[in-house]
Amino acid sequence: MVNVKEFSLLNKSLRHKLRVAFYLMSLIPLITCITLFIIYYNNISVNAWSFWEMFISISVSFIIAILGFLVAKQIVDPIIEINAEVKSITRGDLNRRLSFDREDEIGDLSSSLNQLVERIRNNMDELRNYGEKTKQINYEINRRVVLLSGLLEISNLITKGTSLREIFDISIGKLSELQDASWGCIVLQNEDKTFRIEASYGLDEHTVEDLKHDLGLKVMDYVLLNKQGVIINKDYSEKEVVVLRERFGTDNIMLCPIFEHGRIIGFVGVGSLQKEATFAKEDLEIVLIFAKQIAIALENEYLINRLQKLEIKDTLTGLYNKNFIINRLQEEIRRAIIYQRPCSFVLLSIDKFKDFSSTYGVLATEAALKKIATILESGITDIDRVARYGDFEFAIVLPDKNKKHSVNFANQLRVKVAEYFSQEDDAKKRLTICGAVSENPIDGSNAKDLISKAENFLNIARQKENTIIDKL
Amino acid sequence: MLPIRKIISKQLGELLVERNIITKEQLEKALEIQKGKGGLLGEILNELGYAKEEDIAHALTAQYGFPFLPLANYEIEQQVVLTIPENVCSQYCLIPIDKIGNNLTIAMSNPLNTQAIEDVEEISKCSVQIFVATPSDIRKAIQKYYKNK
Repeated sequence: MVNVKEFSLLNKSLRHKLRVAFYLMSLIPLITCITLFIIYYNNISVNAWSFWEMFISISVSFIIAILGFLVAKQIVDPIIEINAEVKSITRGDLNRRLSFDREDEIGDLSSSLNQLVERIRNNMDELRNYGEKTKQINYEINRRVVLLSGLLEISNLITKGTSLREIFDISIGKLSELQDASWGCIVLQNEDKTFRIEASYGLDEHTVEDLKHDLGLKVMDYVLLNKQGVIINKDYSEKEVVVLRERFGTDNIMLCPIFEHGRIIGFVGVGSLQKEATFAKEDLEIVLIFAKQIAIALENEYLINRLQKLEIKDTLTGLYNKNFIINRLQEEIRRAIIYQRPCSFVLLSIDKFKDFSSTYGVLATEAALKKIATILESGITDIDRVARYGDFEFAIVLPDKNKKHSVNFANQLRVKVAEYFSQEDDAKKRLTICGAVSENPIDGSNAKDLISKAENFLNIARQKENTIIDKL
Repeated sequence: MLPIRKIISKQLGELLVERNIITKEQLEKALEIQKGKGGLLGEILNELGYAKEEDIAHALTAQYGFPFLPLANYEIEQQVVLTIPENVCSQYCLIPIDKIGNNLTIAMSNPLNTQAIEDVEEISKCSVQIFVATPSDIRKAIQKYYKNK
């Protein structure tokens, strides 16, 4: 059988096609022309060549030349087409494929180009993946930075003496920013082995209630075994862990102890509802730092409380403070009972001082308070004690003075204050004080009774102004 | 007001020494103990066995002219007891024994405690007559009458 394909130009190489085109377009017409010219010039059997014969042979030559042109076009067209395709690829359309299913150089070129594009596309994909990964790493770094800055923020709050409540709330807020964290809690143990939830998020009421009792104990026991903090995930099969996982309803849990003087007093817990995710060691480290910060805040609070208990003076007036005077009153009452003597408690309040304060400002207020403090202090004897009792209240403990003497004494102080301020030109600045006197034994046998009586009397005195009240 | 209060100047200890109930050394020792552990001088002298409660009460009567009342044999009306609250009575070691009109009579162990008398006046709004009684008699009476309340 004759293979038709062998005769087809389609499968031939460009060089071959070019040669054929060249022959068709130049050599064959040229040879035809030369032949015609020879025939015409030599007049060889001119009769044999009629006009039609000439016409036919020229036409044939012309057709052959056109065929040559078509062959040439077949060579040039795909090149133009490839050029257009390549241009569109360079513009970024990497999904485009060259579809020249040919066996010549054009076919080779297009398949080479296709391979090239494929490779570029693979590289681009890889680059994109790297970009994605870098983005994720950046995101992770960013989150860590935010968490760490959160820790710094908490440190700042601690040094500023912010309340514990606020520190707990901010800590739990920051913990919730941990990746995959769905719930969190800060739990401290009470004296009676129950627990208090200082802050929590993402936990249902039932779990929170459980945490206060037996669930809290279970977690605490496990934390005591893992003082460095622990990450629990579904691979853990210890009995205790399985119970914890069931009770919290989460597979992934991080637990960190809160220490105070080397003793564990509570824990920080963070859990994730995401089945696949598990917390990383870095996450645990962050939670551990949070637990330490909370411990520092607790320690700080404890020390401040202790300091306040030890403090006995009011910073503005230099008088004793409320705490001190209450303790002192109790002591003096005890002494009075032993020695069969009376002891009195005086409360003094500056009349309409809120108006004064809002009209004349902080400086004038402080100056007035200081002045009154000086008047009171210079008016008492060595065994009496005077204190700043409230914003604009003072208290005096008068040992060995019964009600009658104490009322006289309080009236003397009242007059002294009124006299001092009576010299003011501005009527609003003419301050006066009112007061109340309670006594042991008449009004009670302990500080609490005397204070509550005195406060009741003072409420009446406040309405009357510039007066001392000692009974209802 | 009782004129008697104005002449009270001497301390109980001095009075007892003066009346030869205790010696100066005994007083000093008792004061020493008072300094250390606190308490009332009369009670310390009694505990040490230097002076009986009755001796002290009699010394006060003799010196200042307060009448002595053996409280153990005295019946007090409940109505009278109510004029002074219990905590005031036990703190000052006194007990009201009679009330006629605006005159309240009280028995107390230390009639020199003027502030206590003022408080009684303040509470009862009466003028007060004073009898001296021994501290233990007064405490027994307080126990008896305020328990009945």
